[in-house]
Parts: sequence; C-alpha cells; structure tokens
Amino acid sequence: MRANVPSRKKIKIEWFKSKAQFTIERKVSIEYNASSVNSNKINHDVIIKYVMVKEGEPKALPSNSPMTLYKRGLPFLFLSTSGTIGNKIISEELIDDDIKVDDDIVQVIEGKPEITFEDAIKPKEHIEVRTRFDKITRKITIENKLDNEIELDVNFKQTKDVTFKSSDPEPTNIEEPTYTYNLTIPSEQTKRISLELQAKIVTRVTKIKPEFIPKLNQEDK
Amino acid sequence: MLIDPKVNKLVIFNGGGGIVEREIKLSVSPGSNEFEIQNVPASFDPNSANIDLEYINPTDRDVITLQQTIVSLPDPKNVQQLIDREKGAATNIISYSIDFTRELREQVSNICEASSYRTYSDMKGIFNFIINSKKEGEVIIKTTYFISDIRLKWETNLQVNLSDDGKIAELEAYLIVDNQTGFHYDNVELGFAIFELPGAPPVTGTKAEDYYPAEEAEMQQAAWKALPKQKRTQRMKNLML
Repeated sequence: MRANVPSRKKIKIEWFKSKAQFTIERKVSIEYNASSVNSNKINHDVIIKYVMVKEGEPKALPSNSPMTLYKRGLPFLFLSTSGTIGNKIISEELIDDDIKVDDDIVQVIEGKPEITFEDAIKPKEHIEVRTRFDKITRKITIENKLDNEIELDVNFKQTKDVTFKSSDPEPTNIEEPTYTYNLTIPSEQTKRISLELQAKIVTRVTKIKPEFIPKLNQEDK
Repeated sequence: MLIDPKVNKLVIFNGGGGIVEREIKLSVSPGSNEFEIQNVPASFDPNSANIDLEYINPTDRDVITLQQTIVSLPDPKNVQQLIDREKGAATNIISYSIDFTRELREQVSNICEASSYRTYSDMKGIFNFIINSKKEGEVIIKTTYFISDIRLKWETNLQVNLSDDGKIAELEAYLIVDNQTGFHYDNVELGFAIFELPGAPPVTGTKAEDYYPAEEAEMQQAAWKALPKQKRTQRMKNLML
C-alpha cells in the first residue's frame, strides 16, 4: 500500500476486515504441596483468554498489540494480543475477576506416622523421620458473578506430595497427573468440587541418639 | 554532486526503525563521478548502506561501475552541542515572541517546536558514492539502508465487534504508523515487519541516550518492575442498557 508518512505525525491505515469465530477459554489450575494442602483457605485465579479464528487469509499481529472488545457498539474490554497462530488470533491471558474460586479445607484424617532414622552430621545424633499419609478433603467453590453462563476448565494437578484419591463430581478427563473438570456454570450460580486427597507429610527432627542420653546425665551428676 | 533519490519503499519494524529504499536516475560523465545523497538520517546504519546499479542500456554494465561508497555519522558530541544551542535560541525567541504579529508568532513557534524535538537521529548522515564511467550515460541507482530509530514504528489496533450471541465477531484491524522523526516520506510503498533491530535503542548505543536520558531509563525500568505480573480484567459496564 502507498501512503504519505509525515514527520511527527501518526497515520492510521485500514488493514483488514473479516468475520471470526469467537471463543472464550477459562481455566483454573489447582496444585498443592505438603504445606499448602493443609491451608484453611486458598483463593485461585481464573485465567481467561479470547480466541478468534479469522476467515480468509492469515494475518500476523505482533504480540502485545492492543485490542478492544465491543458489544452493541460499546467497548467493554481493553486488552492485548499474545500472538497469532495461522488464522487464530489469541488474546493475552487475564485474571477473570468476575469468577471467584474459593478452596476450603473440610477434613483432615491424620495417618499413623512411620518412624525411620537417618544419619546426622554429628555421630552422637540421628534424624528421626516421621512419615505419615493424611487423608484430606477440600471443597472448591466456584462462583460465576457474570450475567451469562460460562464454561470453565478446572485442572487439578497431582504433585509428589499430594495425590488424587477421588472427587465429587468425577473428573471429566484424566490424563495423569492432571484431572480435568469441564464445568458449565449459569449466571450468578455456584458449582462445587469436593476433592479427596492423600498428602505425604514428612517431618525431620535431629535428636541425640538414646544410648548417649543416660551417659551424659551420669557425667553431669 | 548532491542528489536526493526518491524514497520508493519504506519497510517499518514494529520495534522501531526500518529499511529505506530510494531510487534515482543519474547522468554520468567519463571519469570519476562522486555523488552525495541528501536527507539520510543520522539514525541510518552505515554498515547496511547498499547501492545497486540498474543499467538502462545493458551494454553499460562494463563501462559504468560502482567504485565505492563512503558513509559516516556525525560526531555525537558536536551534534549535541549544536542541538543544545538551537534549543537555547528557540527558548529565547519564544520568550520575545510577544512582540511578533500573530502570523509570524505561529511560524516562529512551529520552527521552535521542531527545534525542541530535534535529536541526534534528526541530523544528517553522510552517504556518498563514486561511479566510474568510461563514457557519458545514464544509470538508475537503487540505495537501501536500515534506520535504527524507535520514533518510527508501527502498531496495530484490533476492534472486535461481538455479535449478541457472543460466538461470531467482526474484526476490524488498523495499522498505525507513528513517525516522530524529523523526516517525512511522501507517497511511499509501505511495508510492515514484526522485527526489532538487534541492539536498537533504547537498549544500547550512544544514540539511545539522546532520546532516553539515563535517569529516565532507570525510572522506566523501576516502573516496569513495579507492574503486576498479570493484568486483571476491567470490564466496562454498559450503563446505558
């Protein structure tokens, strides 16, 4: 295209106009470690991104290009692009403040600790390792504050310390170590997921070996 | 001889800068012909400066040849002194401009404004070349060079008009060319590239200091660090409906 580019000015040129299929992808990722699984309350962020599949030939947009979403002729969201893949224009990922995800602890059943010992640096000491497997129940409450129905993917990912036992409802898709729940939440409604987890809790305490304790007492006397 | 080849094509990078293609038909006389290209910004990359000869008469290929190009950039220290003097003079003129008539005052303020924006990159670089010819003739000269100036860049603006069901969208995309340099390009073929020149300002280089003083760069970095890692949605509520 030909144009005049004057000094110290901005020019605006029409590039393309086309129709596109518009989809919204929302997801929340949940993952615990041995410490966080025992937290009373955790708030998770819902990540939202917009995907547009454009008709016609692909156009590459630079990442971080501004884009504005309009509904009924009025702008309602200002964001930027994260990139383009062929005909797909993908927005940046944002935290959706209109979807609240509260994660509360419901029950903890402590397992019987198994005690083992490890060598310490000092010869008179050893490390007492207490390993127990706790059964933990957590309830995830998702609230849709928007005035329209939403679809949300909740991804629970197992870690080396916290493993999945069961859930209500059952996961929609299991691809170890990720358990996915595809939820549809109507406007101003909540949905709950109850997770039964097994957490490996390990505590390590350095102690003086028992055979050295009486000897020390006698020497003191 | 001073020449001013027309800018035919300008490929602009979104990260700032671009490639300039210029063309001119020249008459050469027997012997050595030295030409000096006008209006080459000091932001041009001397290593990227290139000249191609396009022969009007194919038999001229052996008789008209490019001997060499000569490129250089002005000395940053001297240029800065000159810019500072100009700015000082402009400030003085503005303070006495109350004595001017309205029309004159507008003209003067336009000149002074241009002077206040001037940086090293708005000064002129040297791009000369020598053509050896065994006869009188004509040749078309095509020159290309990179310009490394973040004040010349492009960005896009995407408007997404959603349908009522929210499943179909009409996309309207615009290209916005921002030319805050002192150079203008009239009726040029525009090209756009997603590209950042390696080592281009404001990252490194003495020229970067001209538009981004050290303190400002530090402030920008601090501000960048202070930014939240991820943005949050701020939906504009439509109160009219």
